[in-house]
Amino acid sequence: MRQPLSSLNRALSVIIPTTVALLLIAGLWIIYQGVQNAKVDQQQINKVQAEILAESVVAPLDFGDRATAAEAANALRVNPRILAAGVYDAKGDLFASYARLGDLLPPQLRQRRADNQSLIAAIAPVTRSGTRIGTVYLVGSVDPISNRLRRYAIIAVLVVMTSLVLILLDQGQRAMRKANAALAATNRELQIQMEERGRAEEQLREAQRMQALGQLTGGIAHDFNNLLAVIQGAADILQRPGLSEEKRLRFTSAIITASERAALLTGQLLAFARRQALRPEVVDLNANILKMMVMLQPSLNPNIILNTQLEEGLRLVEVDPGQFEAALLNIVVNARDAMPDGGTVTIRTRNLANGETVAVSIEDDGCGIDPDKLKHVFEPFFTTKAVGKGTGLGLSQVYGFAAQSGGEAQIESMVGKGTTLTIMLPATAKTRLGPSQAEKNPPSGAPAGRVLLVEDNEEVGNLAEALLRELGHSVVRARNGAEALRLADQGAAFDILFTDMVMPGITGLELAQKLKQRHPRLPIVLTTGYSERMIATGGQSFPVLPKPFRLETLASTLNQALAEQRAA
Amino acid sequence: MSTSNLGHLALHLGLLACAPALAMDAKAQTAPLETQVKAAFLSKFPAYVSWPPNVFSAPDQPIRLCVIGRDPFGPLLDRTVAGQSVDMHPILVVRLEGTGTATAGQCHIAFLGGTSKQSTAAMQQALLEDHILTVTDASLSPAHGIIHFELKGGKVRFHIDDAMAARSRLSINARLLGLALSVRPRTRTS
Repeated sequence: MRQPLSSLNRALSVIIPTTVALLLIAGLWIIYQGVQNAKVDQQQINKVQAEILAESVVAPLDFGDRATAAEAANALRVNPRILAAGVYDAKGDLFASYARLGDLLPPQLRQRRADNQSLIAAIAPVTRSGTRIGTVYLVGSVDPISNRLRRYAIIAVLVVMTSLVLILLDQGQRAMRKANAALAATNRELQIQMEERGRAEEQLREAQRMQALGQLTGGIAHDFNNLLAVIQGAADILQRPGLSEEKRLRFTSAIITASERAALLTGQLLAFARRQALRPEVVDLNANILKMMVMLQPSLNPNIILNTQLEEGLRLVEVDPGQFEAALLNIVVNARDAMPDGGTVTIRTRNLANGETVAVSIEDDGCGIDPDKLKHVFEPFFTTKAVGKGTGLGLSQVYGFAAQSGGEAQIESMVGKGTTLTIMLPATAKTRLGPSQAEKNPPSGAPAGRVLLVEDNEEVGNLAEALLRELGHSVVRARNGAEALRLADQGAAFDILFTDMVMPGITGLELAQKLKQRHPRLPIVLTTGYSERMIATGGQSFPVLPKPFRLETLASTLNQALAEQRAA
Repeated sequence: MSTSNLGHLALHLGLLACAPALAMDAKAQTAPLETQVKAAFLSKFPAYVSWPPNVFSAPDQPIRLCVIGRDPFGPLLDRTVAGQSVDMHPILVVRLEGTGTATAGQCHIAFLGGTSKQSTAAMQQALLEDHILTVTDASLSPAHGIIHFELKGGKVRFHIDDAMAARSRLSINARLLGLALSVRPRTRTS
């Protein structure tokens, strides 16, 4: 589009001056031609006038009537361009004349002057019946300059007007071209600026991402370091010889607690990343909250009072109790941080919307949250705490938990008055039973079996083998899927398959499917640290044990699988 | 005779007019200027007159200039017309006693001098129908032909009776009419 336009502009920039020049040349040519033609015309006119006069003075000349001849010559007076007219007889003597100016007519025809620039002479013979009886000599003026100018003025005006119009057109074209160029330059500048701005925004986003990552890593590292310090310290002490049974138990339980907290932390990270599958159970939230109170109270400062207002006959909900506890803990910790000078935290439960929904709200009378920040509190990595003090994942976990459980989380806050955070969860018609019951079953007395353990990681494999033996099972180890299949083909005896899901070569899932084909009744339990794999196998009806797992959970899951097989 | 001569003559006519008697008497030898002018005029009239087409049978047929009755010119007229022609017609001077033989074809122009037997008017009357340009002279007779000489302001001038010319089926050139002292115009029907 721009190319033909600019070529048109270029063509016009040549055409217009050329046209103006041609017009001027044409105008001058017309004027020059006009001058020439006017002279020729004037000569012609003078000649004709002379002939007319010659015609009309035939008889006066013939009959010597000077008066009539002069009269005929005087008749030319009406033509301003005829300055003089003389009638000469056959001998060339002046016979009669008319003259505007005195000395234009010589007394003898042969004395007549030559033509010059301003005078045009004409001669016509006076003849009667073929006989020359005299001569008419006529002197005319070239068209006066004023007349000529008047005649050419119109041409000149036309040429000048047209030239002016063309010049203006040209100027307009030039101005437009200039404006176009300026516009194009501005446009380029704008595009460059836009690109720069885009890059700057990209850099800003990258910086923000890095900052968020920094905050996250800082927070997690801090929390993990604390836990690792506990574990390391306790383990160091446990290595000492001659430790009393009481001390051994205290430090082992410290390690277990720290590990649980670390698992909770990774759980939060995974929940945030939506990679952790919930393990929903039918739960009485009132009971869970009361159970949590024992843990929550010590985590609060002494100047903070923790109240509960729990509705009797609260409907059951189907949630992951671990995630619920994590959410509650997160909220209470936030409330605590909002009340550095102490205050009251109230945990309230209610049935809402005709019992369709169960609401758990945690209310504090702390400093409140600025409205600007309030809308960001559920965003991951958003934190008002110093680096290392918080991960920015707490309320994000609350939100993720509520959403994944089919409910929602709401927050209300007034600066200086306090904050209320409410988790709304859908009530369930199911009754309490299942895994939580199984979890309570003691490991002892459970049916022992032969376990085919498949685990590519040597350390995890060793730990799992130790735990399984602790539970009274006998263990056949395989380092990968192929080895497991070979063992099975060689007729190795086992009652249950316990396999890692993610392994090089044959995956745990493929192994499970192959063995299931050969031994349809074989109980199978899968384990993985990745929740996505677990979700993907949701329809495969294999129970999945998430890593890291506790001894109790391992026992109950295996026992349940074995029990189901036996029951079938 | 040249026009310059004529002009020259005309210039001196005023002087001549002062002594007409003298001029008349001396006509034989040195004709007065007035007579010379009239003779010159007579020789020039044919150039301004058109005759009906059947009057001339040949392109070189002479134009016959007749002097009928008194002849004031004498050999002067012969000298004046000598060598002159109109188109291809030479001019021939013919002298007649009376109008008796001046039939059509004999004369084309007739100067009517009049005689004691036949007045100028009678001559004019006799030639009326004959395609002849009749010329009369006020100094000889008051009777008018188609062209009638008259001395006016010391110059030889003439009147033209175009109506009479029409009656004789002659056509007189407008240039000549323009020089006349008076013109009796032809009527529309004539």
